[in-house]
Parts: sequence; C-alpha cells; structure tokens
Amino acid sequence: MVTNVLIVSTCSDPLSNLEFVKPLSALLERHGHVVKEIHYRDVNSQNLARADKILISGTSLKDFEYLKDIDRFEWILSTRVPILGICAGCHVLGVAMKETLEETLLIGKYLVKKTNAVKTARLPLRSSAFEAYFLTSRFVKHPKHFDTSATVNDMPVIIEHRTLPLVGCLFHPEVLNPDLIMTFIEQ
Amino acid sequence: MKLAVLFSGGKDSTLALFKASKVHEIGCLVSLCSQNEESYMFHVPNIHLTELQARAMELPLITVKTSGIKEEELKDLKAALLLAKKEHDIQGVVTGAVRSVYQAQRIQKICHQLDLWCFNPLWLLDQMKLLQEVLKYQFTVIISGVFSYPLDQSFLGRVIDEQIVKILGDFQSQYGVNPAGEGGELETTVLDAPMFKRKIVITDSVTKYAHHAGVYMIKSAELVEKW
Repeated sequence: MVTNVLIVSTCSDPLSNLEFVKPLSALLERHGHVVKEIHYRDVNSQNLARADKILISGTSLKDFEYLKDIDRFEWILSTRVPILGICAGCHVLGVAMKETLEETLLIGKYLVKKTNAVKTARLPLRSSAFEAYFLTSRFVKHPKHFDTSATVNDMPVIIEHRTLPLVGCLFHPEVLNPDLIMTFIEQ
Repeated sequence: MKLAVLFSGGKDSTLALFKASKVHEIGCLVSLCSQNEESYMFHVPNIHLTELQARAMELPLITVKTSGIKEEELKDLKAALLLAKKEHDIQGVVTGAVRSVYQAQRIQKICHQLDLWCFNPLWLLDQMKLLQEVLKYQFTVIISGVFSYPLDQSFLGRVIDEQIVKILGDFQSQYGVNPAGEGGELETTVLDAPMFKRKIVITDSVTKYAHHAGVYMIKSAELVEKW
C-alpha cells in the first residue's frame, strides 16, 4: 500500500539536507511511497492532514537551531499521525514531551540491544542486538513518558511514547538499518 | 560559512565541492597524499594532480603527506584541517563520502574535536544517480584506476560518458560491481567541471595493468582556456 510520508527536516543548513533528508526520501521512493519534504518552520495543518506517517530527520552534529525553535513543533502534541524521530528528531520528541536531554557523544557504529520494556511495539525489532550508526551529542535521559525499547550501554536509543504514536530513534537507521524505517512506514 | 573540501581530485570530492559551492564559500581544498597504497582513507592514483586542479579552480590547496598507516593518517588529517582553520578561517569541512561508515565516522570525530561543521552532500546517494549527476553537470572525468573484474585495461583513461555509465550499470546487475566505485572497484580523475575556470589537458601518461588491476598515471598535464 502506498503511504504518504511527510519528512520534516531539522536542518538549518541546506547542505545538511542532502545528508539527512534526501537519503530518507530516496529510500521511501524506492519502495513506492509518496514523499513530501518540508522544513520544520514550514509545517502547516494541510501537510499534516495529508500525511499517513511522519519522519523528523536528523541534522549535523553542530546544528542545534531546532532546539531553540521547539515551539515550532507543538503540532506533535495534537497530531495523531505516527511519528518517527531520527536523532535530532528523537531530541525533538523528547523535548516536546518535557523530557530532559543529557550530553553524550556517539559517533560511529555501536551495538544496540533490545529491551523487554515495550508492549506497544510501534517499531518492532527483529533482532535482540544489532549494529547501528550514531551521530549524536544528546540523548533523552530517564524518559518519563516513553518506554525504552533499545539501549547502548544502558542509554535509551529507541524510545516509544506510552500513549501517543511517537517513536524516537537516536541512531540513523537509514545508514545500516533501513528495514527499521520500512517497518515503521509499512506496518 | 567558509568551508574546506577534502579533495582527492576524483569525481566524488569534486561533485561534493560543486554542491557545497552553491551554498557556501569554499575557503580551501585539503589533499592528503598517502605514501601507503593500502590506505583505507586517502590513497588514490594521480593525487599529485590536485595541485593543477586547485589552480584550475583558483582555490588555495593545502597538501599534507601522510604515512598512510591506519589511524596514524588521521593525525595527519587533523593537522591538515587545523592548518586550514588557522590559515583560511574555515568553519566546516566537506567530504565526498558516499557509503563508507569507516571514513565518515573518523572525519566526523575529527571535525567534532576541532569544532568544525561536517558536510557529506553525497551521503547514501545512489551510485547510478551519482554518475548521472556527473554527466548532467558536464564534468569531464576519466577512469584512472581499475581494481576489480570485469573492469579491465580498456577502461583506463576513458572518459565517463553515457556509454560507460550504461556499461557500469550493466556490471552492477551482472557482477554486483558498485558502478561509482564505492567498493574500491575504480578510481577517477576530474579534468574539467563547472567550477574549473580552465580545464586540464593531459600531455603524457602511462598505463600499468596486471592481474585485474591497473592505473592510468598522468605524468604531465597543463591548463588550457575553456570556450
């Protein structure tokens, strides 16, 4: 089934868009889905109404403009469209839900381990452990509104909101785990 | 933002430079000249040509020789980028990384340590699309190294045109060859591109080929005016 996917860019620099947004679009289009890319400052009710699924992209390691603009993401609280936040997108979901971000530094491949904490399984994980590519300097610490479905050294790296259809993924699944994105889109 | 481009003189770093130059100012090029043919990061044929390519684009070039020993070469890269930061006041670095997590993560770490932005405008780009962009923007690119069957001596020195792109696409289907050489199957050298104010003409070259691997070495070349 063709899905209309809205990709919300968190990139303040257009050059980062090529690195963090275009690969997501290309992946989804290869699987026959319809993609609309939009910068977070331009999201409106029409875009949201047309979307079946929403991805919030990552951005460059030095880019934190999206955190200064967190008010622009208020729509996350009201939309019922399932959202997958990737890296910066995961930060956005956490901060929008009043969680705390803690500094860390993960660059490169790390072993991700599945937990048994999640019952809803909005992003079912087929493997109990797998490698993933990280590029982040923040993570959501001790989330109060999310369950942790995967960790790296006890740090939450996949979080699922307990009541809303929100999934945060701290790593970049488009690099080594594209099947995770397709599971989220097609389930 | 003023950026340095990690520049090998091949199609990927030149296409990345082209894309970056549409958005930002290019402060300088940085080339690492590896002495080790087994270098995972930096070894390419005709790296010496970057000097002429930089002149063709009228961009400053920082060239640093590196032993090419695994991980040691990262110290040389860091030193080169630090020099670029001091001499050209760059705020970020552009790379032509497409798929290599090995390269990308190491460059990201160095940029983080030096408080530099890191841009990879070709990241995860489909390799056939990459080649089509090279044609679309009218780059003149020759194949300067082949390292995998069924690529043979006949490809060395050939300009990448529509016919070659089609052949490489067929090799992808038949043999699993990465058509843009991301798996190390081939290396390229750029002789002309939209940012080149003058183009490069090869005046002397030599081809070496044995056991399914070979290089097209440019012994001398010169800049000529573009029409």
